[in-house]
Amino acid sequence: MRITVKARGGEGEFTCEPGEKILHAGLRSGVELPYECGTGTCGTCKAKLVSGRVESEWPEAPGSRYLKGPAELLMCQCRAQEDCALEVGVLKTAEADAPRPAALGGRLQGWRLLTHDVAGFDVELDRPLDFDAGQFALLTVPGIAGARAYSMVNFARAARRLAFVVKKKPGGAVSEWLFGDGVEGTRLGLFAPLGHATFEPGLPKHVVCIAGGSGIAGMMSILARASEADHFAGWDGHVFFGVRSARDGFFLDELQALQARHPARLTVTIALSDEELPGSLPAAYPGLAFARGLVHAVAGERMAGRFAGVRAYVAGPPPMVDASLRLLLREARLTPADIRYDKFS
Amino acid sequence: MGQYEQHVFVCTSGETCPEQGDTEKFVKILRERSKQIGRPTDVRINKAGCFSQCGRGPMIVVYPDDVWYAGVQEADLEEIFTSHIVDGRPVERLRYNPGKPGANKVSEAQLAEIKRAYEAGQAAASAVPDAAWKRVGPTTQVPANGMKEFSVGGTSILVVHTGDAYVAFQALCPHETIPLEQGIHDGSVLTCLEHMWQFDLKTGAPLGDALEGLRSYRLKEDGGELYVALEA
Repeated sequence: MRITVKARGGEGEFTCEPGEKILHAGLRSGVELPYECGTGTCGTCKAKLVSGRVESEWPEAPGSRYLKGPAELLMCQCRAQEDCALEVGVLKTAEADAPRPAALGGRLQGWRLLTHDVAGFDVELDRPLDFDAGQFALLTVPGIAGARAYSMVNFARAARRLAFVVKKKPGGAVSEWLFGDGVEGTRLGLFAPLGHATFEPGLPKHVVCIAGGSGIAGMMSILARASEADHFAGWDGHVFFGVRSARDGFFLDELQALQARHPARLTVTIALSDEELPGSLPAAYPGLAFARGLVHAVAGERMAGRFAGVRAYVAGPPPMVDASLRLLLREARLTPADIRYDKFS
Repeated sequence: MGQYEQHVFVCTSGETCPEQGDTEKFVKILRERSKQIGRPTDVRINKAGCFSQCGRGPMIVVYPDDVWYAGVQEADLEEIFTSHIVDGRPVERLRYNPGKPGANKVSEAQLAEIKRAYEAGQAAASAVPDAAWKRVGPTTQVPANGMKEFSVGGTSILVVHTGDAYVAFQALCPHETIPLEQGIHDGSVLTCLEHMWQFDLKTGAPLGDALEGLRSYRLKEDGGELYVALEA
């Protein structure tokens, strides 16, 4: 089916296969349709149907509250039933070297608990995938409707393996499945890579990462990429990782190893929101700094007066992301172009 | 080779420039931007005395390009900064070229006319019939340097306290109809946190990624109460 899209930034045309989401069809064809979450939550991929017929996989998607009237739809949830003409707010020009997303398959491997309620797992891909540090993948699990977004933890060119983390979320179908029995070896569907919260090597800026909980996933990829590109030879890196209490911390060994590789320019601060700092943590991780408080507040205090020339990355639960955006815009006075973020919902 | 890559002069003490715009604030905004892009030592923003072109202000001069701007308003600063200072493309629509070197002040009579027109413009703007003003609520309901949404006769408006004044806009972001009250502002720019659309607080004009501006409403304060002109 032919889909034509009009926007202020230009127009695009692509083919949509039966059963394929309009957003996916456009993105894999190199048409830069607007999107953020890809999972029906944020409303960014809304479009107006000018002609044709579509079917939504999830009409009650939270993102549908942004739709004004019956002619509007979420491209991440809709399949075309026939040739369609759509209008969207804006079409960006595709960056020539940005990896184009595609549907692919893989096998879940190496599931392991990282804390009492956070697990790590890998997906061995059927074919290699290029992605940018900080991007995410949509995962679909057999027998469960809808896709979930997970940020890649690792970074590699032509990656054969993607690493992810997942937090146990009671009532979340995919999360509960991932914490159930017999997940090892299961075949998963992926659509990847997605996301604009990326780190580009050669960026002439200091890097500040503010992450809450499993939001640290994408930061690990960014830090791996920055370390590999020797970014911290000339620029500072400041990582702020917020968790509730000491037992919720993970990747601390990896963060300490990164810090040890760039002792002069990289700092890593773990913020504990819900408990006083146990003395055992600083003793076990002399390369990391620890603080009591909400992660955005800790970042604000420790970075005060040092936000010039910074590109900030933010990921985590929505309230933490909102508080961090307020800090970065109002106190740090960064422009939106220098703030890259993902909201997990 | 000079000491700075770019040297920007803003007239803040001439006879007319500071009356034609808040030029001290212009300086602050431009300095903040040069800091933000991490080049406070490459891009120097200086307050300047009179350029002897009085009546054509506010004026800004950028060296080494030797580009002169006339009639600059606060809403133009971002374009001058982004397009000219950062990208090297002067903002042609604001360029000053009287075709006459040296001093070029307007005559005393013209100057008086400019001032009269300016004051008349201010006065005309305030000429809203009494009946058109609708009561919004007491100023105390708007947090200092904050924002609050009100419903006035079925129309939702956002009242913003910018630090020295109250201004009013449509209550919802034109992008995704998110209440702007949930966003933030810094006295000159309003940001909707949902997708980072930004708006100029003086005019409601779109900034950055925003594709549409905000409808602004005339607002006045009288005896601690705010009144809005929804039709004006």
